[in-house]
Amino acid sequence: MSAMKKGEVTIRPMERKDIDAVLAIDRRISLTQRVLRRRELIACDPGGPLDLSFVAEADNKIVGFVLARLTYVGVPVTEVGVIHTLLVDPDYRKQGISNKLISTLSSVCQTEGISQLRAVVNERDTQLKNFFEKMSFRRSELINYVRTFEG
Amino acid sequence: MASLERGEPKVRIRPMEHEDIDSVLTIDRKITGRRRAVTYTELITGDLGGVLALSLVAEVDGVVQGFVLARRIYVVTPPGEVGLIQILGVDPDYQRRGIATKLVNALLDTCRAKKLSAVRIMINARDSQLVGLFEHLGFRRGELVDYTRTL
Repeated sequence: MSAMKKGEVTIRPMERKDIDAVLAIDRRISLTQRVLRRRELIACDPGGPLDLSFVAEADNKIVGFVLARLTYVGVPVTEVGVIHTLLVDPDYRKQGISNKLISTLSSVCQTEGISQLRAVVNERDTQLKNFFEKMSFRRSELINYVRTFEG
Repeated sequence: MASLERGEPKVRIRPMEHEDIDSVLTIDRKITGRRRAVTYTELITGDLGGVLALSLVAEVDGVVQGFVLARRIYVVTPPGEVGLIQILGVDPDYQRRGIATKLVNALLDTCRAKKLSAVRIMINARDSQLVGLFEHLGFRRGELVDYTRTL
């Protein structure tokens, strides 16, 4: 089913009606581990005032997306775009779609006067770290601390 | 109006309500420019409804003197819902009285009761005071790091 890969890729803002297509990509990536749930996507409020999510379309279907949200970081409070999830259909990888999604997100943020984009990445995920570095992201000094509950 | 009494202040921890936002912002402003090491500043998301889900305030003699803004988020590894601390703030006049510890402990209790699997926070690795506080509260360093792009 992956023969037609020449389709032109267009990037547009995510809308509420895209939720099923987005979940379908998530399910294609792994049958055992879902990255996203419907409830979470609805909570993201695609198309809402704080939403900065985009989808990539090729061959008349959604083949990738970035979930991002306008967030306030203090102190002093500044506006930041936070990238929550970036996924591309396995059949459409290595075509620069992630790059296009992040570039579009960046330029929209710039137009909106949002001065920073951020993403939280697993320290051991070299591929993702390299991608963000290539996209001009730099590692900050923030690291996460976790308290887990037994059982 | 700051109480000059020595010893244990009467601290009451309760869920944050919409009416508390002014008090929270007042504390936030008071912290600005003062000993950043004592403050943790992360994401205040715009949707207060979401934030209020887990957020708590600390009252001393009936006045809000500290707060923790936290929300539920879905994470991939391990898959499930966790609590994310966004900001922990205590009025500088009321610091060093164990209020931050009480707030975080109360949040841990709430998250445990809601069957969340963990509580997370992003902190500056160089902020040894804050790192020390969270390690003391049973938090351990995770694998997530932050990547930022300035636009």
